[in-house]
Amino acid sequence: MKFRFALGGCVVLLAVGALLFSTLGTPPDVYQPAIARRAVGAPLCPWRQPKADMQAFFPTATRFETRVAILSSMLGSLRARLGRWPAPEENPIYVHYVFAGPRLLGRVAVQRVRGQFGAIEVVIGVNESGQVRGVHLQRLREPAAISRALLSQPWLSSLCGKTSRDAFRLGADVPQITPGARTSARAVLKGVRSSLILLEAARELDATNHR
Amino acid sequence: MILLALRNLWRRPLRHVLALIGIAVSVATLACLGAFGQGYRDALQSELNGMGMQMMLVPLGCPYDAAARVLRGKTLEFSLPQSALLTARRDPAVSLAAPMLMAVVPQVHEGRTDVWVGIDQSTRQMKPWWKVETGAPWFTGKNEVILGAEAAELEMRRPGDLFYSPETHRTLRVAGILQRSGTADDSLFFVPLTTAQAMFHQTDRITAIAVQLHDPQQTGAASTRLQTIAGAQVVTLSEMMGTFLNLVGAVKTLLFSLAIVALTIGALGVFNTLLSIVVERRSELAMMRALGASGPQIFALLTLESAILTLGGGVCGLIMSAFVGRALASVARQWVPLSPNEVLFKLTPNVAANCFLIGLGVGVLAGVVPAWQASRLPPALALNAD
Repeated sequence: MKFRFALGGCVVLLAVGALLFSTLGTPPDVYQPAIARRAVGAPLCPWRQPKADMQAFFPTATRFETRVAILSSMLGSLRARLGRWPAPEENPIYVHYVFAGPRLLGRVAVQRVRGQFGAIEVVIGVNESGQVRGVHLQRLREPAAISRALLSQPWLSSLCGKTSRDAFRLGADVPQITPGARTSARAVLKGVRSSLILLEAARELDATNHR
Repeated sequence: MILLALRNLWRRPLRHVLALIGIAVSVATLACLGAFGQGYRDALQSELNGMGMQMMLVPLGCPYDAAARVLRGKTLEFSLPQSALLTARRDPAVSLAAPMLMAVVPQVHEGRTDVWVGIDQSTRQMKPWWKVETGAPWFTGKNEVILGAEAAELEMRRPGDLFYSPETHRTLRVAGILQRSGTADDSLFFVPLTTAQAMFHQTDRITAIAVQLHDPQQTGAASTRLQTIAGAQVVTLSEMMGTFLNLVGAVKTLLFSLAIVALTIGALGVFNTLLSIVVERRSELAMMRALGASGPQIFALLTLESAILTLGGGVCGLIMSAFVGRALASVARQWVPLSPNEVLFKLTPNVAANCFLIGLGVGVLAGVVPAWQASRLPPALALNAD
């Protein structure tokens, strides 16, 4: 009888061990599971090509985690910085934290702006000093000539290094663009500036929480 | 006898509560299924009635027909000629025939799928509930688009804004934005029929014709006449409903088998409980026989006990289903094909009564064998006690 109990106990222990290993012991995949574990609800504007964007903005990146930053306690200061009240999709904001192993490299945010011919989705990556590492327009429905101008690498690259305190005047602080594309270009610049301010606010919130 | 039965049940509360829970879960499962089926049918009916049409003319789409055409070296037609619209409008039973040209443009890497629908004034007449939130109620020019509420929100468009279709290289002006309706219309881009035909190089072609009759009773006759239009087939509202219900039927069969399993487990619970009662109370029941209780009286007592048990289980099950059903229906909605927007859970008195009676019947039947055994206990057994 005792032998049977011992055998039964061993089988149960093995089963429990196998179950724990399969759920907890699996090393995390590089990209998707981080989102799955922390998903709080789908963001209004999703990050469509995280792998490609991460490689472009932070070449050494290995993974990212998505967290929701609730900026309600900073509405006053945000209004002053943005020059308007934050839009509903800007609070709470989805911040994608990019890591190389355990080291935080920077943050990525996605913003939808009103282009001349439809919505434009702007992905922006910033480093830990709050400087732009890269900008990608992941979705736009502008005519070909305008799309070409907006997606041109020299123009998008000119935004690298900018911070939320910099000016974003087209033709002055940012290189001029073809006349037909100026309305949408201004919308993109507005989106980049807003994202920088929101990401900075999220970083301040993180710092406060850490303290 | 009822008091005696209740007192007997009260003597083993844990065992009886467990049997009662078994029955309650079975009845709740049955009731949820019944209420879900009823709700789905009603919601689908109301949604189809709300479409304002009785039938639809679509291109021949039978796979066998397609295969036969390919084998004969003919090309496949996925649209109807505009002449089909004229024929349909000439039919005496037809009060309104609304053409539409639908084109789906998926852009997977951008995560968008543009669904363009070309319509004319008759569509507006067929959908009198169509309300424009902002802007003009109808197109004022051919290069205009009316956006569904969700589409406008996603594209950040307002009336008067420009809207570009990169795939067809066409710039349109937003004429109006529809009020949110909770239907597929919310995410569609509506353009004048001729504009859609030009955009997608489908001159004089249409995807479907929605038909409204003067009198819905004429569906059969009108359907037979319209069926003669070359290259077209008629799909009536009841056929559409039948197809949708068939889609759900497979899921329902699976769930129904689960309910049967639950009901069997509940019945076995009652059977087991009563059988153990009979075994435990052998001497007591034999004593009752010795004191003058007849076999049928013992049988009636045990059957009453099982009836009380299943009655309680049935009531608890119905209460449980009323609380849990809505939540389950909202979860199930995600997996139901072509799920209507209305409430999918309708626990009508009819459904509740049916489930309750089934539960009661099965429970009482499960108690028959133990009761029969108890009624046949010899009074002499009482002498063996202690």
